[in-house]
Amino acid sequence: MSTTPPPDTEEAPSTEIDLNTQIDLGQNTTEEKSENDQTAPSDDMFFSTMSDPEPKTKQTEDMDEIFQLNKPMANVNLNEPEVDEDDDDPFSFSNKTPQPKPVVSTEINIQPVLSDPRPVPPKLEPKIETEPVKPALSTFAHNIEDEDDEEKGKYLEITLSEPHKIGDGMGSYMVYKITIKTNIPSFKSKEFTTNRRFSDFLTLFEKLKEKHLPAGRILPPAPEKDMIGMAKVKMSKDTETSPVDFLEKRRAALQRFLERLAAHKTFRYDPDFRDFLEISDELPKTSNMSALSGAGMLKMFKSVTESVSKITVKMEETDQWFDEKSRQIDNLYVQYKKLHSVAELLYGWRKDLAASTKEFSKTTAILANSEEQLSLSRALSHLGEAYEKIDQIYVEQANADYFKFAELIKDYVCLFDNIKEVFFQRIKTFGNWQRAEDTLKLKKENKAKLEATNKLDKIPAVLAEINEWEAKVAKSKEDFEQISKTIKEEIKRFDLNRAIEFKTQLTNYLETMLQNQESIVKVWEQYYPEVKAI
Amino acid sequence: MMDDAFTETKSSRAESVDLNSNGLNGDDFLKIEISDALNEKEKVKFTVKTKTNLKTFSSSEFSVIREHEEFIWLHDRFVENDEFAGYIIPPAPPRPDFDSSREKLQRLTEGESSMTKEEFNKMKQELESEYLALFKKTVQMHEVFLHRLSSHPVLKNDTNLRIFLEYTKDLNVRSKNTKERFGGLVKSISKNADELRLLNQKETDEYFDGQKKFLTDYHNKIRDDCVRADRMTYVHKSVADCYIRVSYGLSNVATAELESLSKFLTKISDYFETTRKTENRVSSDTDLKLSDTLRYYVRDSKAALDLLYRRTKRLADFENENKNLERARQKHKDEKQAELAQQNAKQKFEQISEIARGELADFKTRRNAMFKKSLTDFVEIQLKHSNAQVQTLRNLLETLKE
Repeated sequence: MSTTPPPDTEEAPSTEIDLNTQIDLGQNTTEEKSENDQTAPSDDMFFSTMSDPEPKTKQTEDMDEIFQLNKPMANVNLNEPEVDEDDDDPFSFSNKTPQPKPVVSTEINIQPVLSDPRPVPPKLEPKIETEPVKPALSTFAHNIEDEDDEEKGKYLEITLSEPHKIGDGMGSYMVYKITIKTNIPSFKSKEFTTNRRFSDFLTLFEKLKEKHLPAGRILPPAPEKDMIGMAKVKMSKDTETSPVDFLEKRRAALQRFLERLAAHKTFRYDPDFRDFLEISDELPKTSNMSALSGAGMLKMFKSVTESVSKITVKMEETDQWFDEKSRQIDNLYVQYKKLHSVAELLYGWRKDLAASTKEFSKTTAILANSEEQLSLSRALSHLGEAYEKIDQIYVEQANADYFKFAELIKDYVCLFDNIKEVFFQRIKTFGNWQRAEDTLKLKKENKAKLEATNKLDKIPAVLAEINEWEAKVAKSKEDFEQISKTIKEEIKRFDLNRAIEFKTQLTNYLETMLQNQESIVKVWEQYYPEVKAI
Repeated sequence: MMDDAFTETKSSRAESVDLNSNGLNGDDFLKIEISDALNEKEKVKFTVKTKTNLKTFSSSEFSVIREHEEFIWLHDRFVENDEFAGYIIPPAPPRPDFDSSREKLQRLTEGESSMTKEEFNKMKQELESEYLALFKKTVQMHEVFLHRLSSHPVLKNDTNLRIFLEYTKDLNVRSKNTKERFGGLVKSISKNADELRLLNQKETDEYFDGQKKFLTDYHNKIRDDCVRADRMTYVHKSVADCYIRVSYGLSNVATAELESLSKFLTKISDYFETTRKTENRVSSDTDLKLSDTLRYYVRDSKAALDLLYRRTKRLADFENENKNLERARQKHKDEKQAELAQQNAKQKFEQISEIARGELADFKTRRNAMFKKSLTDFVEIQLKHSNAQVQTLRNLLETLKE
């Protein structure tokens, strides 16, 4: 550990690794950062493209956010050139021109902002797949009322419709229409729609992470990249051949992402989140997106940060609550992760069951055609039809296995992982405080030494330094106490919500299972007379 | 539980065969059952028990121990006997095959490390009951073969069947396995060559022409359907097995979870453990009631096709003799002899055609009755299982509300 920590130097490009910058990152993180950003080289091509971001009625706190919106996140800039990050496009590097704006803006003009409050999703083939997400909506909406008195009666409902494709080939991308219904006063209107693409979701996540993770807030699972899946979508000519399954899975995940934000009493009011929902133009792009969104890259950084933390911060836990909670979360993370892999396995088998049932229904129909005895032929033909219906039921059950079970578990695996990160943030904050204490101690020793050697002329300077460091110690101690407090609050809320969400979602899952079983009973009941008629 | 299912079908299948037996006139009876079976060293030994009042047997009650090869021997005697050429020879029982069961156990043991001890034991238990089911099915198939013979008006009187049932010592076929199998191979090759030759044989009879077309098509279609049914039940079984792991996953999460969730999750974990048994039954009963019927008719339609093949062969012989006779008349040489041969071939052909008509009609009614019976059983058991599932889920949802 260095003895004199330079508090304001920024050697490392990543904030995550550079623990020292964390000293000043408390509640007023954003202010500090915007100042830094102003001195950063203005390589942001979108700087001037921003339309009037916010009406002037906003609070000062919000102003900082608006300010920041215009900036690239300079301190996370991983020397990536301004590449137009085209969602998952692995080949986008060839496409270095910024996204042609007119395409999108015309697209937006087509959609009147206050038209249909809740758009009926365009009818795509698997209707069932859009259904599973709705119960989640009610869960979250319900949670809002559970929290604070002042939050009572507030709602923020977000619906994502199926995405539509813009452009052709590898340069194309998917745009999601988002419909928002709310009575939160900070929004300009109660019902409105906006269009966002996948990279916008990622940008939003990164912005929120940068702001709220150091403060100790648990972030919802980040939108996941899937290059192969997306490349398939891009290469497909029309919606009929495009892999609907993939698109629906992503849509549902993004919907849940927004819902989790909307249900959180802090994220709900975050200006970046509000802008994401409210600004009707295309959002500015950050130049570092491609680096940020590569999941592998993120993991790499994480493992680096973790190993760094183990070397630099040795913290003896004084708070029993954290000790227990952290062990509990670690254990839950492991168990949920195992459950998730089994749930995925179940989904796979069920899909396979639906497919093999379909095959059997087909060959049975063919056999019925071949059978020379009329009554037996009829019975076999109806057996084929019965299995055709059962195939459909299995398809629905497979969707339930995925959307109502596996994805729920997966979200929580990510959430537990995010909590682990929050705990790590606290340890980092503790480290900052300890380093400040160490420095202060050194300064004091220095003063004592000077006094002993009678070099009185240097004492005033040292005294000033001591004062400065005493303030820093107080500040970082406060930061540490603050983050500890926030984490406790966050986890309390998280535990509460988890219990509610699991109960609601799993009950819903089992109810779907019941419905499917009832449908199967009906199929056999209908078939029974056919057998009797042989 | 599994055992019940199997004895259940065993008796019902015997019943369905008896229903169609037109062989036992008056008070005559010939009842055969396999009372016991033992799997020793890769070989299954069946105890075949007979009760009869037929005078041809030396006593009214006796039992012998037979192996699969002896069943095949008996089957082949029927096939080779020219007297029975006009009859559909009941299909031979399939060779006992426990390889897949053993293989699964092997794979489970390899994957042991990825599971908990309990999970592993449950999976192992599952495989053991699967093995038991397979074993019972094997026994049942052998029994059905004997039932078909004993209920047939002509076939039941065969001397070889009597020897098979009565002769207490080995039938001396055990040591000849490889040779026999080899012989069988040569036979099937020559038969295939014959079939090719007979492919161009013109069929003059509309009925047999229709039957041949139907049976060829039917045999192919039912074979495809059977393969698909097997795939479906296999995957269904895998879903049920997956429930075991879901149940364990949920129970482990429940242990780690907060008190408020722990109970809730434990209930769901218990539900998966209960429901996987039912799902397993859905799969195994579909296999028993549906797939096995299909499988049996894959073989029975083949037996019927074999009959048609033998008839075509006689038709070809008959036409050949006709030609010979014509040639003999033209040359005025060996006329008498050729006439005799022609008469003989004609008689043989007419005889087989007549018997075959009856046999094919029987095949039709038998098929109808068996499908009706097994489909009824099948739907009833599906209804039972799915209703049970509904009930379990309703109960669960009720307790979850508490």
